[in-house]
Amino acid sequence: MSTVLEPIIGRYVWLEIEGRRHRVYFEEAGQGIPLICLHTAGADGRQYRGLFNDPAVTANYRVLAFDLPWHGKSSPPAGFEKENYLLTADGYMATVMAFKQALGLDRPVVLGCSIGGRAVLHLLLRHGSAFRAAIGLQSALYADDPLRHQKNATEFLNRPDVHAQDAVAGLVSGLVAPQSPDADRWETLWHYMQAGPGVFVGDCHYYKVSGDLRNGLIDGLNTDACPLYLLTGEYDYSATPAMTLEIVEIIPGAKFQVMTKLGHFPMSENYAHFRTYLLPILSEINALRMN
Amino acid sequence: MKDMASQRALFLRLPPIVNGDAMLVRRGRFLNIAIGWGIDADLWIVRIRNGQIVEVTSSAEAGSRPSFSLSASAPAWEEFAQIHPRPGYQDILAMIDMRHARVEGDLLAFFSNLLYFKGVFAAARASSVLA
Repeated sequence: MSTVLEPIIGRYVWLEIEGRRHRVYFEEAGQGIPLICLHTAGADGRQYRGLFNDPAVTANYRVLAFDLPWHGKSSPPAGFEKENYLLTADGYMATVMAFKQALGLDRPVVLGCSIGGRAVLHLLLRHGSAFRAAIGLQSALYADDPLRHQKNATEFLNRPDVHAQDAVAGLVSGLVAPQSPDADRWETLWHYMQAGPGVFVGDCHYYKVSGDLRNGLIDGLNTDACPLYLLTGEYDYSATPAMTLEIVEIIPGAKFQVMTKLGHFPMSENYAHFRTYLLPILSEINALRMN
Repeated sequence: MKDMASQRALFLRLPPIVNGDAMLVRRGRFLNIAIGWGIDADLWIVRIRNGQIVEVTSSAEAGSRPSFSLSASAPAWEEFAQIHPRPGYQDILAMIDMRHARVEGDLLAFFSNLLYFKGVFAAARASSVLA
């Protein structure tokens, strides 16, 4: 077998986030417009390896994906053993902005999925002028629990008598479209199986509580300076196309497309299909630079 | 799949499929439980021992109650059984979330072996039990 060396480079950067120092891992590939990619809850930046390895993306974009603190190869902060991890809207935004500043990224594009798809809305709201464009995958104003009419499913995912890695993978496995290749489906689930205890549940605090945007703050948000693109897979039952449409109704400038044969993890569950939706958007954003 | 006799014939095909899947049985190797599988108003009790299905009976024949049950209409199960179901039917949690199915009973048992149970229900798809 011949050697396959991917163009991805991984490094660590120390960030000061809300007064605490964090050792954060990130990967990058390509050159051009910075493109910061935000992973889903309980996962990490490996979800974006399709973009990193796609010359059609990296020819014009410097693709970067960091693992949130506590995730992937990023360490939890010193003293983590004495606290319960919770992701908040303030903490999440502070992390993205600290990463942008530390790497000196000039008006990057931000792309995020799931909690990252929510985060691009918060970034647009709070720091819109700092970004060139925002791309939300599986974006919704809020998130419900699959058992919302009976019980909170996440309460089963962080207790000693449940194998959380298996249970979390079980919780999200049905969010993958049935047409997605098995190898990519299971690699996506493997990322979830590797999360630290309580991390997925801690991320859900942002997704379901702290980051709920049914508060009117983004209603009528102007997208002239920072265009907003929204892509949602039709098989996602947690952030459905109908829920993304709710965003379009209050941000008329947003451009929205439903992605067929894709679920909640378009970039990792079936990149070959996802890129047919992503590349035209990246070309459009690149053309804005030329104009 | 409307009458009990045809449902029984279909469920007879399920145990060999599940028990023949070594990885699925391994995933459930510590599991000894009875679960309910509802189709319309009918409830079937699936007994599992060490990850293998040892018996499928109607609730009228069963001597004990299931730990939990998952129920949906016959048309919903038939859609679930497709290779590429419509959105909302591709997974048992999707069906629960979209209110095409309902889970009741001991949810801790359900969630602590979620991947296993998903495998059992997906085996029904592979074996055309529900189609």
